[in-house]
Amino acid sequence: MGRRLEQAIGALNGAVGDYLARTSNGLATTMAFYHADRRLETSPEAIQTAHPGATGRLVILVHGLMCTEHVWQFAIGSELVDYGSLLAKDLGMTPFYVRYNSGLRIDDNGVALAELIERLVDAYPIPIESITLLGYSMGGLLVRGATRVGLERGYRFMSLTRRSIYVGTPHLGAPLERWTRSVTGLLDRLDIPATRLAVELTSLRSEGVKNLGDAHAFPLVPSIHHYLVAGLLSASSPPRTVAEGVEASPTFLADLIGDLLVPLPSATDGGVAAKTYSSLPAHVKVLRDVDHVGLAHHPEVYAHVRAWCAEES
Amino acid sequence: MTAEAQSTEMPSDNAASTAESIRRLRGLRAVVEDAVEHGASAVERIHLATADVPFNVLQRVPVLEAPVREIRTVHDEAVRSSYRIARMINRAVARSLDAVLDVVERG
Repeated sequence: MGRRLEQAIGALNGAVGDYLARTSNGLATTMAFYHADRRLETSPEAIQTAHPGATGRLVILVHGLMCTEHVWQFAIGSELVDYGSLLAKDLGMTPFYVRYNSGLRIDDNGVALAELIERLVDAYPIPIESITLLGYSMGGLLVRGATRVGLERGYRFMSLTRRSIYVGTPHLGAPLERWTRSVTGLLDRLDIPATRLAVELTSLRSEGVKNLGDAHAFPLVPSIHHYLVAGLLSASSPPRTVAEGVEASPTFLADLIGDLLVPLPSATDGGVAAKTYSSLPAHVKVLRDVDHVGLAHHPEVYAHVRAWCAEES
Repeated sequence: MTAEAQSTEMPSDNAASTAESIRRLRGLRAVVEDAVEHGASAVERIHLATADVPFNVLQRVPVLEAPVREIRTVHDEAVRSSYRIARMINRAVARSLDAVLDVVERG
């Protein structure tokens, strides 16, 4: 019940979270780290209590629109795991899960994330060797925004951050939101009562959702390594990596469909598209037959995440 | 953490948990109240706008203009009253829930 309730509140925050925050509603989520379903304060004592065996290698996981940190979970046998717990087990990293109001403006959440990570760095009880940022969907855009803010403000966490991993992140925007805008604009011009109601209802969607239609406004921060994971449904041809020695030919459909919500060029920050495609760069992985939601909790995605995190470890 | 420390922390944990639950229930109450309030107003606007279409056509017929105008006034007022009552009930229920939550919070 508790988990489902948190997920429902996460969904509500994504849908109308800006309204919840504006009206100081008790259901509005404030950005924080969460551990075992409870808010984790950024104090040395709280961190030590939550992570008695804390290591100097941190991974910070940021979920996507309308979800909570539960989106990362999947079962291996009878055990419920996620990318963070597996990285802790396999590579000795210490995971921190961010929960936030995904209905707020992405830029604002990016600033809040940068400030939250900086507070974690300040409070961390042992010396930090490295930080890995892992963002799923909208969470990747927050990571992108937070690193930009961190760089501009000279935050300490930027000198410790080694890599950012973006899973199914719409770097160039999500077409579904752009279509919604176009249809809403079209309906708005019709002076028909029923369409007016449809426009009113559609316009209730949060600022966070509306922001998803736009491409990022700034380049990736050059001082850290960036890795991208994209999903590709089977209606389109599978690209291959250079290592596999095969040059594939993604179709127009691959550009269009992607993982169903994020097209291939957007998830790869423009790095892979039918027009410019020759081969996949090493920092990009495309998973066939994995849809957008599946990317957050897929063993194959984890295998790539783990391999990237193991570099320089 | 020792058993003693755990036992001393448990009441404050429970209190914090109850306060959080109350805060969320108040939030849910506010969301439902707003949804019904604004939903009723939106449907009212659409209802009146939809009814405007045949009324406007009929009022262009000279012989019908006067009676249709009367009927339209009665119709529009009946519609507005219905939605007004729905909104009043909604606010009354919301205030009652607030009172119940106040009692729970104090208790």
